[in-house]
Amino acid sequence: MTSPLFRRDLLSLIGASLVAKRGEGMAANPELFEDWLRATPAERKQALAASLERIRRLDDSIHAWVEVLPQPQIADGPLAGIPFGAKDIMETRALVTEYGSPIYKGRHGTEDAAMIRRLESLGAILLGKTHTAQFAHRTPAPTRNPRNLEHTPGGSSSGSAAAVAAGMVPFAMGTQTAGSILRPASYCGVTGFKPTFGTLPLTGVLPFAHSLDTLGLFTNTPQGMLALWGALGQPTGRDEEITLGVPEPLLDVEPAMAKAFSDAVAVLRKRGWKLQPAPLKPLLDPLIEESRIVMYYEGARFHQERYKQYGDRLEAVAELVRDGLKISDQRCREALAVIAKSKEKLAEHYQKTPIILVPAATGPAPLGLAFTGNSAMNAPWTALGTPAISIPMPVGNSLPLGLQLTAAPGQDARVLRTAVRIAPVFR
Amino acid sequence: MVVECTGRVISGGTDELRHDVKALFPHTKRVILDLTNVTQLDSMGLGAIVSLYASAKAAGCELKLINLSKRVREIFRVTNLLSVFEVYGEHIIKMP
Repeated sequence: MTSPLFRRDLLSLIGASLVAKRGEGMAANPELFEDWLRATPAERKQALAASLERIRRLDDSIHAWVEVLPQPQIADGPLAGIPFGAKDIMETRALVTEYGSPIYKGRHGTEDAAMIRRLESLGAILLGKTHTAQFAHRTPAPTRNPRNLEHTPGGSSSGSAAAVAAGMVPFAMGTQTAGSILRPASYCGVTGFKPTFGTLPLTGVLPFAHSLDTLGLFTNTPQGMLALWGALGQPTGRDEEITLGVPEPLLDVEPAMAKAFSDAVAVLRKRGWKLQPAPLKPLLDPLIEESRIVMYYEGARFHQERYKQYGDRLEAVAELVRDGLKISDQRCREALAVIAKSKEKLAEHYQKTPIILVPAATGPAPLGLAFTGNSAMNAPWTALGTPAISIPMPVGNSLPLGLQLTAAPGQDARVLRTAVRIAPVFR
Repeated sequence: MVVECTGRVISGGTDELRHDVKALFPHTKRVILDLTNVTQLDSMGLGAIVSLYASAKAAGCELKLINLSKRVREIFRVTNLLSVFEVYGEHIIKMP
């Protein structure tokens, strides 16, 4: 196995020619979306070349990409010339769409996913397709964590998180049915955003569980995410004084996460943020199982025909189908009812604390690639349909850990703005 | 072949498990991890066990788990891993 390679080492590999030289007016550092937005068209071209060079030099180690084939820029707009990656469950005609499965090796999509078309209509350049866990479920992608190549980047949006973490693209698309954006963002030390359920269009995205599937984004910083959200034509709100809710008792996480979370809360309090305890554990814990029931019930029925055709070649999805088909209609209805009731209870919490802070993962990225991690910190929020963002907490030289901010459904701008205001506190 | 695991299978303590169990695969068709005395399991520990499962499969060997405590079983369940392993027994039930 390759020896550990941390991001600072990755960056040193890139070479001086790719490092931003703001004094010379260059946007040659391809990492930060906010830098791309400020750059001139000429600088964007230069930075695009830098992105491709970075991929060329680093992807043999990281394996973030299934295919890199920059698509033509078809429009002029706020995202003109800005490259992005798309998770390989998003349909693309010109690029492969393999769902992370060897069964579909070399398959091309029958259409372009609506969100890709939307980004391209704003001038963005689809650079390529990023690796996903098979069918956005559990069988892992070959992708390694850019922060330490011995560890998983998380999943299922593994390639998108890793590509952004390695500075290969300023933003990438992912999807989340349980924890497939927020958890890899936490593991890779980037910003991952899952908007309110239903906000971004899923047309042309391989479904998993229609009651839960949500399209989302990765950038390096919350500032970049807010800027991207605005560029997509979404409301960006305004800064406001807000009381933050903190679960008490803390949710079940590993010691490293418990410490980082407690330290982050202490720093925020010291810097004058208002924080209030929120007794969320009794509400969130049952949702881990209830959301799993819905995911397995719906996922099994979606993949049932595929299972009849391919059987165990679907690997973890074969198990999903076998287990999910055992879940009755009634049991799924009960799970959805619990989720609906929980949404009402959560709304009361948001009245008191409009932003709730929770860990973005149970702990740091597991060693090895076989296990993409535990989604227990994300699945309840996915089921609840809330906007949620993960931003990196201070961890020194340890593996990254994310802080998750959530708000009431529809309050996407609030969650993004609060993340932007909190991020400097952690520097 | 039954391997009794004891104590905490957590971050910083999984190398021995990975190394020692992996070494058994070429010599047997089935390895059973007895988790009776496992007091704590985190994502790193889960990662180690899933990694062993993949290695076992590649080597033509089966990896099974027995005697999971309620807490450990719950961790396998919420991570959708329970069905991966043919899990035998609860806390006090021993394999014959």
